[in-house]
Amino acid sequence: MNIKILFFAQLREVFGAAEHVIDVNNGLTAGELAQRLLRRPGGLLAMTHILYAVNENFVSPDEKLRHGDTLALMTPVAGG
Amino acid sequence: MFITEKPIDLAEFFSQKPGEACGAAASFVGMVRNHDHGRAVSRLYYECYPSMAEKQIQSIIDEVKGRWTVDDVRVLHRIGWLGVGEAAVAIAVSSAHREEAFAACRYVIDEIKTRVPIWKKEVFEDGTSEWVFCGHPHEEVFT
Repeated sequence: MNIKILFFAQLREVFGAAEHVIDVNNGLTAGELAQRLLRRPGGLLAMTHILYAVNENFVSPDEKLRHGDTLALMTPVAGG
Repeated sequence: MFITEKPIDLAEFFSQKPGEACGAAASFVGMVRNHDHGRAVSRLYYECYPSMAEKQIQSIIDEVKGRWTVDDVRVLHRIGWLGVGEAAVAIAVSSAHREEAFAACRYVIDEIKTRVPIWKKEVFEDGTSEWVFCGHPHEEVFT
């Protein structure tokens, strides 16, 4: 299934792109996909407090992704 | 639209008069300050997830209207590069009585800081910069 991932702020800088489309196995969760994308060999990037949104709604990392979903990976927000 | 890339014209934003049933108008303006945690800040960069930010702010306004008896709730948040002293966010709430107006206004800014996908990067006077994670030490989010 195809998933579009959006990166913002520091995650965008770390990943080096604002968006990325990836083909993954059915049943993958938002958290599992984030781990796959952002934990590199050498393991420099450990993330806590990451926020997940699927199709513009906040979800838990356990949310199962579906074909065509847009997953946004976000650091804690800092508006205002 | 609650998100803008243009400077917020506060005089214009607050020029809208509350309805005649309103006895109170509370407002909040968030501005760029020249320091953070003891470091001199020269400017800020705000980035957002525009479509989701718009939806989240609308949902906060809907919640406020369900929770307090308020008349009008308006929000404008700026993104992009902002200099010291510039307005980043403006909120206006009108209501029959001040308690509701104050409480609702406070709720809107608190919720914006919690669940609207907007981020800011601080650029310090010494030329270095750092993304801000409200409520979380930097080393806790990225290690």
